[in-house]
Amino acid sequence: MIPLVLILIPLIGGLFLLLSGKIGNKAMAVGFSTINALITIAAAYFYYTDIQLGAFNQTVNLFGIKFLLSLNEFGNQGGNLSLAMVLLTNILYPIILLTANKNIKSEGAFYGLLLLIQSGLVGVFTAWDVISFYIFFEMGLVPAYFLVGIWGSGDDKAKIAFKFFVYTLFGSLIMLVAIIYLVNASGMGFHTDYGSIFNTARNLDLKTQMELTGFFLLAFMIKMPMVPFHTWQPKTYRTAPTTVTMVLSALMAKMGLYGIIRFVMTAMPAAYHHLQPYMMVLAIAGIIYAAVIAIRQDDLKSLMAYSSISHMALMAAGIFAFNLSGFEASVLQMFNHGIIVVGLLFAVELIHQQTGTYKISELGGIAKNAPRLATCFLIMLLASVGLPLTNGFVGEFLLLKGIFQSEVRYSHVLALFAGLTIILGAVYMLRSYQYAMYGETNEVTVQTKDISITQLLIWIPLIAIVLALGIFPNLFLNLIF
Amino acid sequence: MKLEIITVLILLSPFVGFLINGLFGKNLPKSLVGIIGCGALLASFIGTAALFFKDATGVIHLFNFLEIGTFKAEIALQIDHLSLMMMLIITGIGFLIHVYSIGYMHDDAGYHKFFAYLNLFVFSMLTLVMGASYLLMFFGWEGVGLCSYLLIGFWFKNQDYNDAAKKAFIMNRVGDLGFLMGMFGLYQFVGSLEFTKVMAFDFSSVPTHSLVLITMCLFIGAMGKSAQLPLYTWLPDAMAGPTPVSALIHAATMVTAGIYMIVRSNVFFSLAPFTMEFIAIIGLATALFAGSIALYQKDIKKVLAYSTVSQLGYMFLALGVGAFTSGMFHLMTHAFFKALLFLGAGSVIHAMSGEQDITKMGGLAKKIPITFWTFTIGVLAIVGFPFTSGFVSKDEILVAVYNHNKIYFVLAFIGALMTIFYMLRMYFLTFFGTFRGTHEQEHHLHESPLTMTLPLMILAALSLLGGFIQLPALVHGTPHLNEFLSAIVPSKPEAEEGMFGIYLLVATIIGLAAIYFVTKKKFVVNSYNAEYSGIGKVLENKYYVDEAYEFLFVKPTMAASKLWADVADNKIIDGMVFMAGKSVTWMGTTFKYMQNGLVGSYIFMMVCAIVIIVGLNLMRVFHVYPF
Repeated sequence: MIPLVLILIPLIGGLFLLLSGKIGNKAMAVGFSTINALITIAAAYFYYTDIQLGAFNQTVNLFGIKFLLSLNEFGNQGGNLSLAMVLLTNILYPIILLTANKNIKSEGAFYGLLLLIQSGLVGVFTAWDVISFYIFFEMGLVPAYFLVGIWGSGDDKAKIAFKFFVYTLFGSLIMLVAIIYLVNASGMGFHTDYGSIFNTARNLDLKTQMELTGFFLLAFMIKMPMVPFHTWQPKTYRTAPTTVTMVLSALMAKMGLYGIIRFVMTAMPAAYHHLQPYMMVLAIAGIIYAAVIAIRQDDLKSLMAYSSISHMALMAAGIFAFNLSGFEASVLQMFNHGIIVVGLLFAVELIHQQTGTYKISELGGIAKNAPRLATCFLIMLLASVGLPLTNGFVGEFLLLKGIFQSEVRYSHVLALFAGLTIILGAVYMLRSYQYAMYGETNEVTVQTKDISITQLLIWIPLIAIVLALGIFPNLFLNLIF
Repeated sequence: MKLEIITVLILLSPFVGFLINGLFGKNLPKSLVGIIGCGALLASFIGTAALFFKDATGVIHLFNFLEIGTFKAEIALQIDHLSLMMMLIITGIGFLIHVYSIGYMHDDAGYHKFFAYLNLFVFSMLTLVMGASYLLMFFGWEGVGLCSYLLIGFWFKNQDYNDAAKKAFIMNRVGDLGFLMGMFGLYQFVGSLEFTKVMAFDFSSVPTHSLVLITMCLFIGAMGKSAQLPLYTWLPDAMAGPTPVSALIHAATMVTAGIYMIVRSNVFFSLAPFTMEFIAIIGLATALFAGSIALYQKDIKKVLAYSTVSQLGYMFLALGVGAFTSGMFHLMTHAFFKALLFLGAGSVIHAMSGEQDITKMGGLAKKIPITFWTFTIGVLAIVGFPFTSGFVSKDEILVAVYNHNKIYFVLAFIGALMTIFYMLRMYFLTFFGTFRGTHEQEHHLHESPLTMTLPLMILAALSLLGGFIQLPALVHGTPHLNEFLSAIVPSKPEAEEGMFGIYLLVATIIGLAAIYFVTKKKFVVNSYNAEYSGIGKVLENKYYVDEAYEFLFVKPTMAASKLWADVADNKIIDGMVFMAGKSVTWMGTTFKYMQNGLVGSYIFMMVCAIVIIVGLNLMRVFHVYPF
C-alpha cells in the first residue's frame, strides 16, 4: 500500500495544482511533498526496525495489466535500492520546492508539473515489473520538457528543451525495444515481474544478452548522462529554472544509474562481465573529460552541470567495478550526490537572486557581505570535493576502493585515473568559489545581503545530512544493506 | 577521571572551541574569544600532560564508522609514545601560538574567525596523530589541509592570497591521491587499515615490488603535506597567511605530518630499501635546493619558509637512512626553534608596521630587545650552535647519514653550512647596521605586548634546552627519546655514537668564520641594493620552478579545458548528435517526394519493388546470395 500512496499523493497533488489555475501555490506543493516525505521516513523507520509490513508491496490491476510496486524489493536480499532512492527523492523534494524563487509565473502549473515528476520518480524506484518501470520512466520526461521550455531562461530555451526531450526519448525507445524482447522471451505477457525477467535474461545466450545490454546501457547512459551521450545536459541544466535543474541532476539523473544496476548488473551479469573493462575505461575517461571542461566554465550552472557529469561517471565506474564495495558505494554516493548537488545549486540560486547573474567573472567578494551564505556554500563545496567528515568523502573513498579492487586488469591504474577526480574537483570548485565569493566586491555584488533565517532553515537539513552521513555512514549502509 | 574520557576530551576540546567561536564569536567580546580559543588548547595540553605523566597507552574504540562486507572501519584513538610526543608538541606549542595570536591579531576584523579556524586546525591535527588507523589519519590529513587553505586565504579580499591558498590545497591533493592509493594497496595485503593490525602483520609475504609501490604512494602523500621536492612550492606561498599560522601550521605541526606518518609506518618502510633510499635522496635534494633559495630571499618569512622546507628535508634524510628516532627528534627541536623564529619574525613585522623586506630593516636590536634576544637563541639553535637543541638533533642526523653514505654526508654538511649562511644573513640584515626603513616606520617601532613576548621567551628556553633529553648519548647511554619511542621504532645497535658532536662543531666554526667575511663585506652590502645577476638571480627567482610548473601543468590543463569544451564537446560530439538529428530531417525531406500524389510514380515504385522482391526470391531458390 505504501508505494501506491507515495505515488498517488504527488500525482493527485500535481494534477490538482495543474488544473486549479490560480488557486495553486508553492505552499500547497510543499505541503503535499512534506506529507510524502514524512510517510517515507516512517516507512524507512519500520523497515529498519524489521517490522515487516505487507504494506511495503502492492499489486495494482489496471486495464488488465498487473502493476507491481514494492518498497522492500519483495524481500530481495542484498540491499534495498528502491528504499534508498525513494528516501532521497521524497526527502529532497520539499527542500527543492522551498528553494524555488518567489516570482514564478503560473505558480500552480509550475509546482504541479514538479509534483508530477516526483510521482514518476517514486514510480520508477518502486516499480517491480518492466511495464510499470517503463511507464514511470517516461512519466517524468513530459513535465520536465514543459518546465524547461516554458519557465527556462534564455532565447533558445524552446530549442534546448526540445533537444533534451528528443534525445532522452530516443534512449527510452531503444530501451523499450529491449524490454519488449525480454517480455516476449519470458512468455508471460504483461505480468512480468523483475524476478522472472531476470531469470529469462540470464538464460539467454551470451550474444543476445550483449545486444540487450547494449540497448539498456545506451538508454541509461543518455539519462545519466555519461560521456559521450551528455551533450543535451549542460545547456538543459543551464536553461532550466534552478529548481528544475535540482530535480534533473539530483534525482532524474539517478534513474540512469538505477537502471544500470537493475537491468544490466542484476539481470545480465554474464554480458555485463564482458563489457566491464570497456565500460570502466569509458566511465573513467568521462570523469576526467567532464572535470577538465568544468575548470573553465564561467557560468556557475554550467560548472555544476559538468561537475555532475564527472561525479556521475565515478558512480558508474563504481558500479562497473562489479564488487561489493563499488556497488554499495555507488548507491550511497547516489544518495550523497543528490543532497550535495541540491545544496550547491541552492547556493548558486541565492547568489543569482541577489546579483542577477550566474557568471563567475561578474561576481566577487560575496563572502564579505554574506558570511553565512559563504559558509553554507563552502560546506557543500567541501562535501563535493570529498573532504572527510562530509558524506562526499565516504562515497568517493569507497568508490575508488571498489575500482582499485575490481578484477579488471590494471584496476590499480584505473583507480589512479579515477582518483584524479579529487584533484580536478578541487581545482574547478575552489576556482569558482574563489572568484565568486572571495576578493573585493564590485558593483554587481556590493549590495548583496546575507541569507535570512528562513533560508537558513532550508540549509539546516541539507547540512545535517551531509555531516551525519559523513560521520555515521553506517546509518545509511545498515538501513539499505 | 578515566583515561578514555581524558583522551576524548583532549580531542574534543579544540572542536568545542571552534564551534563556540565559529558560531557565536561575532557577538562575543574579543577578550572572551581569546580566552575560549586559548583555554581550549590549554585544556588539551593539560590532558595530554596527564596522559604523559601517567604513561597511559592504549587504543580507545569509539564507534563503527562503516562496514561493507569484510571491510570494517572504526573510529578509534590510539595513545602510544609516538602519538603522545606529537600531541605534546601540538597542544604545547599550539597553546603558546594561540596566546601570541591574542596580541598579534588584536586589531583584525576577523578575530573570532581566526581563533575558530586555529582551533579547528588543532582538532584536525590531533585527529591526525591520535587516530588509530590510516583512515582516521587521512581524516586529519585532509582536515589540516582544509584549515591550511582557510588560514592562508584568511585575508580573502586579496586574490593573491587566495591563489596561494588554492595552490596549497590542490598541491596537497596531489599528495593525498598518493596517500589514498597507498592505503588501498596496504589494505589489499593486510586486510585492515588499523595500526595495530598493520604493525603485527607479517610483511614477508608481500612481494617487495608491491611494498615499494605502496610505500612510494604513501611517500608521495608525505611529499605533498611536508613540502618536499617536487611538491614543495605551495609552502613558501603559504606565507600569505597571518604569521602565527605560519608558525603553527607551516613550521611546527602540519608540515611534519609526513614525517609522523612514515615513522608510524616504519615497520614496512624499512622493508622497502628502494623507497628508503629514494626518501633519503629526496630529503637531501630538498634540503640543498631550498637552502640555496633561502640564501637570496628578501622577505623575512620567505627565508624562514625555505628554511622550513630545507629542515624538513633533513628529517626525511634521517628517515631515509633509517634513523627514525633522529627524524622525530629533529621534528621536535625544529618545532621549538622554528616556531620561535616565526613568532619572532611576526614580532619584527609587527614592530615594522607590516614591513617584511629585510633589506628595509636594520638596527632593530636595540629597539625591540626581547624579540632580539629570543630571536638570537632561535638563530643559534637552527644553525646548530653547540649545545643548543638544534645542534644535538642535527648532529644525530649527520652521524646517521655518515654511517649510511659518505657522499650524502658531505652534501648534508654543505646544507648545514647553507643554513648558517642564510640565517645569519637575515639576522644581521634585520637587527644590525643602520635602519633602512621609512621615517614613519622608525617612529612606530615598538616592542610587542607581553602576550607576544611571553611565548617567545618560553620557546627560547625550549630551543636552548630541548636537546638535553638526548643527553645520555653523550655519555654512551641510550638516549631518552630512543627509549621512549622503542615500542614504535625498534632500536638498532648503534656502534658509532662516540662520534657525537664533532661534525657540527667543525661546521659551526667554519660557518662563523665564513660568515664574518661574507656578511661584513659583499653579501650583506649587496643585499641592500637588490639587483642580483647570474646564479643569484636564478636563486632569487627560486630556480623558476613556479614558472616551469605553470608551463608544464597549469597551461596545458587550461588549454585542454578550452579545447575539449569548444572543439571536442561542442563541435565533434554534439556535432554528431546534430548530424543524427539532421539525418532524420533529411530522410523526411527526401522521402516526402515519394508521396507526391502522382499515380504514375506510385505505379513505377510498385513495379520496382515487385522486381526486387521477385529477384530476391529467385536468388534464394537458386542459392545465389549476393550478400
